[in-house]
Amino acid sequence: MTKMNGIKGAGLGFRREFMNDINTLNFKPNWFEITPENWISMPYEYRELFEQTMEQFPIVAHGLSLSIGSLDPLDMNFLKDIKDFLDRFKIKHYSEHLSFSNFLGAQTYELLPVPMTPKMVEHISDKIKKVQDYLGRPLILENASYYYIPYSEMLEVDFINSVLEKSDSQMLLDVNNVFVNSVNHQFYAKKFIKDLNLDRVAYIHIAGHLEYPEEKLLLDTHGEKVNKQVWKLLDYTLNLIDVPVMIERDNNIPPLKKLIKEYDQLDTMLRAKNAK
Amino acid sequence: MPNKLELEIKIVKRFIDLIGNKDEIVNPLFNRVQVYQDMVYFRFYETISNLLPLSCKTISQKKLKKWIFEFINNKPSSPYMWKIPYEFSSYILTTKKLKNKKFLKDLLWFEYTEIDLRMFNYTHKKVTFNWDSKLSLSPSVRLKELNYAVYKGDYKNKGKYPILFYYDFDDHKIKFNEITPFMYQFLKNLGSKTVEENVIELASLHNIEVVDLKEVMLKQLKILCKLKVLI
Repeated sequence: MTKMNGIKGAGLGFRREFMNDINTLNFKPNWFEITPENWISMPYEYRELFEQTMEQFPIVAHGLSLSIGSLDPLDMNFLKDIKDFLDRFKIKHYSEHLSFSNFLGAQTYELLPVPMTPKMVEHISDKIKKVQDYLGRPLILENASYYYIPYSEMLEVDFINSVLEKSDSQMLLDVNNVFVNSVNHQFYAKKFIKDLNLDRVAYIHIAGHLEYPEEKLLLDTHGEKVNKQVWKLLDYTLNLIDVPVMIERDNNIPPLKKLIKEYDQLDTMLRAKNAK
Repeated sequence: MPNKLELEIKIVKRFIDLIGNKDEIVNPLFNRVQVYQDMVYFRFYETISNLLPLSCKTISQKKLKKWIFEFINNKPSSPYMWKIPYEFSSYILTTKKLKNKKFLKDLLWFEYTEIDLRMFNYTHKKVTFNWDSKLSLSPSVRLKELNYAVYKGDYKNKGKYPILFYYDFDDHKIKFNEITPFMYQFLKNLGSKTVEENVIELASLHNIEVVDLKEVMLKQLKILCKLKVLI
């Protein structure tokens, strides 16, 4: 049974850069994902069109600044902003990252990797429960991309499964992040996905990344089209679970016409899977 | 009582210290902390240089990098990235002497005020001008007397430059008008009294006939109401 009421099939990340073209091109995705931090305060000129879009399409909110993996306490003022925003636009689904972005009150605005220890599982799970209680919604957590592991007493997959289990939260499976991490840290992406508690996956992200061959590094940029190998890994994943999937494009954003082509590719793939 | 996350706190603190260190890490190929150091720095650099372009042009790249790293280590606190320029400006103005850049206080204000006005969630209120009404400045307006005419690119001549900065609801642009010291004083005094009471007070202060002053100001005040500068 789907965990995502009203959210089905292919979705796309909603961006200011193309919001004017949605109606012009008569683009009607199944759903949009939005970043609340970009819209809690927004340029006044976008307000009307944004509100129209919120009414027109099913929406999932995907946050950036919750910093659930931080050792700092929750920022309740920020959480209130999020709750007000979700309530105002009647958004049921809120996802965030299993990472941290602040420490001792200082913001970095990046998604940083947390030490993977049993104590952190406890700490993060307690925070997730508080967030879920306060928001009155389940929290959906994304596996983050990471380039450095500050400290680890357990495998990433066990860490994620433990947090999801302990906090009774759901997962946003970012297939691109799994791919990027598997190359950077040399593990088997398919095995990682298979070992996840897939019953908890609510939806999937795919995105583009950049390759730096000299540094032997993949960077999760969200600024390129989705890589062929990520499409393949998505295909593998969709043979295991049937959940909505969306394309994230946050940087180097092309005209909507181009993005629609990629969206159509995803939509066709999901329809074919469902037809089987 | 020892903190049960003592080890994790140590680890994260070390990691954060490395990220905030402006020195390049030796052999980054094997030390991926450099990736985070670069990502965090460029996140700040990009936001600051895009949103405060004029101010950044007056600072050397070397100094800007130094200041940004200092700022990163000085606890930028807002969860909203668009507030970085405001926090960065406050940091610069409270910690730097700016001996040869006295104009920077006005220039930073000028640039982050534009962001502030653009991001405000306005509620419209239609105002018809009336001498008996108690008009005040709209939240879509900032009134300030600058020491430098930074809006004209003049960073040298110190003086008194009153300006009215406002959101234009017709084309969604942020605009500014140079105003007379007289108008500046009038607008500053608005709020508790009626427009007419304010004019009478100002006329008496400057020894001007009230009728003459009202005649001069009527047209300007009507325009300001139309622009929703006065509400």
